[in-house]
Formats: sequence, C-alpha cells, structure tokens
Amino acid sequence: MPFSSLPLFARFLLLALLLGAAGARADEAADLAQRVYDRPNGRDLTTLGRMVLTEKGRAPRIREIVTYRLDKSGGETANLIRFIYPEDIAGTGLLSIDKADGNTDQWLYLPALDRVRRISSDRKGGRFVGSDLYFEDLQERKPSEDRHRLLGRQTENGILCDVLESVPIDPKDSAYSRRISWIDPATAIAQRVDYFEKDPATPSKRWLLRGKKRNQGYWTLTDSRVIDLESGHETRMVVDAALYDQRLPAKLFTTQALADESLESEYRP
Amino acid sequence: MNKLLLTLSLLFAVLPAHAADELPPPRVVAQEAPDDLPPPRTTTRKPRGLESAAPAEAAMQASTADDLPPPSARSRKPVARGFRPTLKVGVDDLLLEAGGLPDAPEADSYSTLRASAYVLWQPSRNWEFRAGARLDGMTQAGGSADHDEMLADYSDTYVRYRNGDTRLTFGAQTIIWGRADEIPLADRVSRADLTRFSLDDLADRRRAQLAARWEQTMGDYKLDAVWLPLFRGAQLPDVASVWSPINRSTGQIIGIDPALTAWVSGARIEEDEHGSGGGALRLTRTGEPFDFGVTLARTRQSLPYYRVDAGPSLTAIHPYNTFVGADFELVSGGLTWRLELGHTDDVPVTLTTTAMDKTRALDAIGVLEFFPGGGDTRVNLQLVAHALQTDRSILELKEYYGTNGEIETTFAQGRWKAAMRFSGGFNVHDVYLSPKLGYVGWEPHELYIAAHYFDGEARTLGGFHQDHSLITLGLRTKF
Repeated sequence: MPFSSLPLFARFLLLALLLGAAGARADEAADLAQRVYDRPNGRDLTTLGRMVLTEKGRAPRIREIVTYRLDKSGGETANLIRFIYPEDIAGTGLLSIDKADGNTDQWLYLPALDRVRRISSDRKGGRFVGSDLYFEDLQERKPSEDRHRLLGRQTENGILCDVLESVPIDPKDSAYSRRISWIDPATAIAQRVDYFEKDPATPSKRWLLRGKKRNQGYWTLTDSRVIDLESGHETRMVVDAALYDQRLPAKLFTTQALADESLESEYRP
Repeated sequence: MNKLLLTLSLLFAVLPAHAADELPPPRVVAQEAPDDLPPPRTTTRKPRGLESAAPAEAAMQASTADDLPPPSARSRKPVARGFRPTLKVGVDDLLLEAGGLPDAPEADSYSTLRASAYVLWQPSRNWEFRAGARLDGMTQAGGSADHDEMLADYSDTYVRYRNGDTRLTFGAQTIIWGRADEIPLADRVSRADLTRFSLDDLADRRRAQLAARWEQTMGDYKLDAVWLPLFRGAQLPDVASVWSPINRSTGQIIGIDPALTAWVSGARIEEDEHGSGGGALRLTRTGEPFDFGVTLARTRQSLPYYRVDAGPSLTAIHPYNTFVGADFELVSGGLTWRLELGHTDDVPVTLTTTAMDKTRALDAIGVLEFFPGGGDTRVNLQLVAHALQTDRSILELKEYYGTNGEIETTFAQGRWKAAMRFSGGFNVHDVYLSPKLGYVGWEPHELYIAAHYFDGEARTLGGFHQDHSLITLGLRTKF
C-alpha cells in the first residue's frame, strides 16, 4: 500500500513514529559522544610521552613531551605542553585554556627569545611539530560542536564497537568535514577514528588505538598512532608514564610557569 | 490496521539496514609489525610506582572488558618525581656558514663560525647557576679588505634565586623585552650584536650583559625591574668588516647623509662606554581580554651614535635617554594583533654642521600574525613608523615609515622549511629581502641555503649595505 493511500490519521502516526525513532537514534548517538567526552580522566593528569614520526625509508624522528591537564571549576580546562627533546625544540611550551564557552586562549613560549606570545587557537589544520596531528587534535572538542549519528556496529581491535559519525555543526570550526569513530561501548574508548577532509567518501587520516593501561583506576591510552592514508606517514604516540590527581596547582597553568620550566618540572612523572 | 503495522515493521526493519549501508567497509587488518619502538632515552626517568607494570601485563589489560571500579583513596597512588638537583652541560648554538658577496668591493666571500656552550646547575628549588661562553669567528677574503677575527666572550652567566612569585637574577643575561619580532620598541635593556648586521633573527642579534633583575609575579601581573650596573655597548664588527656601521671604502656612516661624510675614511674611531647603563621597569598583564605592558626606561642604548670630534675622529657614544612605552597583544578572528608605541627623549641627531643635537622620537609598530587557511604557513607582517620631533636640519632621516616581517612555511612532513624575511620603506627606497630554504629533517641540525639582498637610497640601512648582498650555505645545531 502506498504511503499516500493510508488514512490521514495513520499517516500522521507513521510519521510521528518514524521521526520519534530517528530522534531516539540521534539522542543515542549524542549520548554516546557525551559518554566518550565524560569518560573519567581524573581532575588532573600529567603524562611523559613520546611522538615517533615515521616515514618509509627515513630514520624516525622522536619528540619527547610532558603534558599537564587540569580541569578547573566552571567547565574550564587548562593544558600545558612542554617539549624536552630534541634539543632544537627543547623548552618550547604551549599553554591552552579551553573555556566553558568554547573559546580557547593560547600562549607559546619560545626559549630562544625567552618570550611568551599569545597565538591564535583558530589554527586548526597546521601540523603540530611536523607530526600527523593537527593543532585541532590537541584541543578539546565538545560534543555539542558536532551533529552525531550512529551508523551501526562493527568489530575493531577485536571489540564489537558502536560506529559514530560526527559532523561539525559549523564547517569552519574544524579542519575535518566529518569523523567516524569506532567506540567500545563498555569503556567509551575509541578504538579507531577515521578523519575526512576534502573528499567526503575517503578518509585522509586514521587514528588507531594500540594499547591502553589502567593507572590509578583510570584508563590511559598508552599507545596509539595516526596514519596519513595518502602518504603512509605515521605518528605514533606513546605514553611512558601517567600520573592522575596529584593536585596540580592552578599556578602551573600560567604564563609565569610557561616561561620557567623549573616551576613545573618537579610535577613530572 | 494489520497492513499499517506490517508497513511500520518493514520500515523499522529498513532503518538499521539503511544505516548499516553507510558503515565503512571493515578495515583490512594488516599483520602488526613487531614492536620496533626504541626504549625511552636513558634520561627519561621511569615513574616511581609504575615501574613494576610489565608490558605484557599492559597488553593484557588492554583487551579486558571494563570492570573498572571508581577511583578510590585506597588506590595506590604514584607520586611525581619532586625536585631533583640537575646539572646540564650543552652546546646551545653552533653555526657554520659560508657566504659569497657577488657585488662587494671589500671581499668576495664572508664566512662565520659561532659556538656557544654552557653549564647549568640547579642544586635546589631556589638556586640556579649558569655559566656560558661563546666564540665568534669570521673571515672575509677576495677583495680590497681581507680580514679575519676571532672573539671570545661570555654568554648568559648568572646566579638566580627564585622563591614563590619572586625571581632574582644577577649576572650576565640576555633580556629582550617587547612584542614585535624584528625591532621591539620596549627592547631597552638588551645589548645588541651587530657583528652580522641583520643576517640573524632577533634572538641571535642580542648578547648577554651584566644586569640585576627582579621579576615579581602578582596574579596576572608581572613587574620586571632591571638595573645595568656596568654598561657595555653593542658588539660591533671590526671596522674592516663588511658589516661595520662605518664604511671606510665609501666614506659612509650608517644612517647619515654620505654627502657630508667623505672625511670618514681617514677618521680615528673611538669608543666611550664607561659607567652604568641605567635602569628600567616593565609591568605586564596576561589574560582577558588582551595582554598588555607598559615600560619606563632610563638607559643608555647599546647601539652607538657616532659623535664627530676634532681630529677628525668619530667617537661611539651611548647617551642616556628616557623611554616611555605601551604595548598590547590580542587575538581576534584568527589573527594575532600586536602593537607597540613609544616616546623617547634625548635621541642624538647630527646637525648639518656635524655637531650633535638631541631631540624626541615617536615610534609605533603594528604587527599582524596569522596562519592562512589555518595551515602550516605563518605570516608575520609589521608596520613601523619612526618620527624625530625636530624642526632643525639634520643629517638623519626625520621620518621613516615602512614594513617588515616574515613568511614561513614547512613542507614534506616538516622536514623542509622555507622562509622569507623582508623589510621595505614607504617614504624612502629601502629594501631587504632574505629567502631561506632549510632542511630540518636531520634533527636537531639545520642545513640551509639563504640569500640577503639589500638595496636603497642614502641614509637607509638597505642603501648603506647595497653592495653587500650575500648568498650563504650553513649548518646550525645545538646539542
């Protein structure tokens, strides 16, 4: 029976049910995105890690990084990144304050000039220290900035995952046109993320989880990699040590500490 | 009704199937390569409390389901490393550069060796000691003024005390105030290095000088007080060097109308840099809605003014002047805006009689920095204005309006870097262009090829060095 030949009441009922079902699935998708965002991660976190940049036929390049994160009151998050190796970038620091309203303040410390500079956080697509990570990948992305849709379930890393599509509400707000994430429903941890840029059908980058570990009751993603699917270039991110809830002082997330490495070094793992 | 229910059930059955059609095809899982990740450097300390966790255990945990209990106070809690005394020795700068001067009558080639090493000792939270030394060598050959020299000097060598929000530093230090990249107006307490003119970036055009510095942080504010007990003028190249501010071959002094300085070729050159360098205060604030700073300085500038004395002789002097400046920095619409404004009194100028006079100067620098398309290219564009406030006839330019800056990009996964530094005058013909291509994939070393092109009219920097355009091949590193 064609839809138009149904009685009017039945047509309304059918549409209401369909819309309700679609709405329920959208809610489910948004809930899943929120669960991933809300996954327990401690009040503060310090990691000591490495980024290994590999390219076929070339020696890998390694960056050693210390990161500090503090969840402040009012939905504000502060992040401090310090490079400790190689020597040509050692001491360089990046301080980001992600505000509750979605804005980000960012300062860069350049040891050669001993100067702190305010920089724009709108630089989404620039490569972070030559890696396959964009500056956007370092920023916290709130679920409300994307439209989410569940695409189904698929096995990834041996786990049956929920497959979630996330499309930026404001296309100018992201270097990516969409992201598809394979999320372990038990832990709300992504096992894989495909990133799409210009071509809406073919991902340009892929993030894969390689290992995770419990530290102080929290899951730490200890080993993951981002692959540039066009060039094959790969950036592997390894967390060698993680410390949660060591009561990092708010003073650590100031331009004073950004410019004086010795103020934060004693909080390193 | 049965038909309706059938239709609904069919539609619902179709919904997930439709979504499943949009699922990407399953990933072809390649055989994982054996883990060839090198272990952390020996300097990377393993964390206390985590050392017992074996990789095998970690891998096993990775595959377990989430039966994670909420964190509790009873959980074993690793601790941070805390303060540890450190001793660090390193080479913070090594530059080897060979250059060709195609147009210079003085030389065909100009080469540089620069090396700087340091020892840094931090025995406690409060105390830090640093000792540094540098060696600067140059040689120019193949023209009318073959010359080579080697200069040893100290670099940052100081004692530092820090306690809470206070930091005190005494000794030789490099302090570069301001927000602009090329010529920050608030830069009133640093010592300039003119041995390579403007070939290097700002940080490499400054040297350490003896200073007592008090830095006090008060929330978002920081007070920076500097006293220069023993003045040292700018490090100048030998008068035979192509980068000397006095060119004996052409009889010119940089910035002065050459029509009146033909006698310079035979003049004696002396230096007067006795006494204290003065002191300065800078107050800055960081935070919403923008960062700003104010600077008050009563200092002697390290850049020399050449006073004409009887003889004739030229004496490099560094008279005191008072600087009042304000600057701010904000981000808006993806652009970083920086602005510096300054007023300086007692600026020495040269009357047409070659006698020295003093006047006031007003300066402004506006900076715009952005990354086109949010990508890997950085554009730094600066507009500069300089106006001497005198009605008298002088040999210097009374006004200068121009632009300078840098465009820099990386490519091939950040292994290559291309940059263009530039400077140009609006009201006078004054050009400086410096393209550079560097290979930085061999970390931490940089191999580069660069060019420096100068052109301009009399009294401009580009005009003074218009015969000194240079092509260089260099290696720069630190370890």
